[in-house]
Amino acid sequence: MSFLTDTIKIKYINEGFLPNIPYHEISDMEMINAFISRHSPNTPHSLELETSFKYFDYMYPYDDIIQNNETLQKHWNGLYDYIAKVCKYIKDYHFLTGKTIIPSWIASYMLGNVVSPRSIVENKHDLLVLLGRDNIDDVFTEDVYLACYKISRSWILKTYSGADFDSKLDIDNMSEDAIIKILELEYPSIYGALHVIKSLRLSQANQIRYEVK
Amino acid sequence: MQFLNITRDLMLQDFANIVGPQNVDTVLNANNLQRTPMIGKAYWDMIDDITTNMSSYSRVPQQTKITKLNKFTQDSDIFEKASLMSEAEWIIYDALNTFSAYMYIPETVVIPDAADVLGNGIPVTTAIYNAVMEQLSVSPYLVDPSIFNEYSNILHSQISDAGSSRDLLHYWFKIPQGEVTLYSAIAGISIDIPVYPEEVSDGTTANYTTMPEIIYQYEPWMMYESSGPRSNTYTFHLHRDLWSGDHNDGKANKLVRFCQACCYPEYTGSVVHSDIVSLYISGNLLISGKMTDFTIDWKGPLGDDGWYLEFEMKFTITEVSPQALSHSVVRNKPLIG
Repeated sequence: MSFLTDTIKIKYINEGFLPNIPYHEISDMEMINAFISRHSPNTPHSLELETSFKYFDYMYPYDDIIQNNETLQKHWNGLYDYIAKVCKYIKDYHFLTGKTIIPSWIASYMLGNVVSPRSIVENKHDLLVLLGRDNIDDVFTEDVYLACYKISRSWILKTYSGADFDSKLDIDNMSEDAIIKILELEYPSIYGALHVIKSLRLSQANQIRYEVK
Repeated sequence: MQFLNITRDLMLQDFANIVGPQNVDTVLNANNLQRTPMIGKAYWDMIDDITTNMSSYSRVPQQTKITKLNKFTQDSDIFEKASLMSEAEWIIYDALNTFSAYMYIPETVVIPDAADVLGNGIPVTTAIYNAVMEQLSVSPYLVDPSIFNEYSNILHSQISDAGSSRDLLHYWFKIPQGEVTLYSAIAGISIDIPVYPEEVSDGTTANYTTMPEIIYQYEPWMMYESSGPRSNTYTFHLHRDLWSGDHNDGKANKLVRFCQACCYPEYTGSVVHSDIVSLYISGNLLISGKMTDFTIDWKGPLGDDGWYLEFEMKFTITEVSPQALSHSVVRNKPLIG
């Protein structure tokens, strides 16, 4: 886990989301605070950003396309709030035990591995081609967001049957393994999350039987 | 002198790729900016602030313009840009010491020549200089663009896409380049060692002889002979990728051969010149003397050229102090030395 947190801290220092001090002097809590703020900004804006933004706000922005579609607004807010909630549980657990547990799907958001409008053009292109929605500018359209959400939700509900995104954790009375198991439940994403890419690749190889419509 | 064009959407990581991660703070401080992810926006907020409150700034006097233009004569593209600035742009330059849409690059930092970099290093021609000064001396104190060459002086190749040319080695690791250097008196040059020694152990000895055959002494008489010399072994753990990320760049071999050569003299006729080497850390002389031993252990994975990539290099330097050492001199030595 420490290698993961070190990698994230170095990345955030290099990109200006954390102060320019040696990474080992930055606490895990500061790292998480640099990733996402407690409350949803929920402020409609285009891809232009304010200067003091968290990494999540920069990498997975609440852009004009999301703002103009009520369904996408609901999905984005749901994702944001759920990730903020999980991060709060991580901080509470750290406060209680001194340990930092970061679910792998949260780590993928923290590292910018989830394909978004701010990813490098090669990754965006690959995702759009897999979705069958390639365009000249390799931009995220409304259709792309909705397709990602559909695949993501389908995969998550199949993988985590009986998933309850509203469940509350009793950090004080649960074992670490039980907490990790609950935190590993990923929220459906409108972005190119790793399970979305995997699902598309398997579909392409005819390993699973459903189509992207 | 260089100036870098800044767009509104420039991010800190892309800025670091252009100026070098080790130079980011230097360049930002020179432009009164703080580290922030959206560095382009921060810069343009500063410009917009002046533009919005332009009426509260006074016009730049003509003599001031001429004085500032005289600083740009070593770079014809900067001189051309400054000559053709509007009054608003002059006010921005006077306030921030940099052009609108450009960030000033301090003299200690050199960035690659590119389409968005001003500072071609070509002095302005006398004819153009005289024409500009003449036009600025008479009303309406404006410079006619046609006095410059038909084609703009600002001719550079396109900078490559920062995303694809990102140097991953220097993105993830702060290599202490320039911090540890070895100087050879025979070669007359220094070479950079891109790592610190694994550890530095130092010691001093003093040699005394005892007076022989004096009986009935409760302790022997000690006679001072000499001190030292300091003889220390420095171990460096390196990898052939450390210089540029490409182990075929030949830099590792250059370092190894440089150090090995320090164990050999140069012969001129009957005269034998042995080398004096000096090891500097952070610009401070750590030890100077004769290299009496050099070993290298190659290990690790094999590179494309069929040779090992990782190596451990050790050399021993026996001190030949550049200054006479005495009790008071050694007491006043600095931390590194």
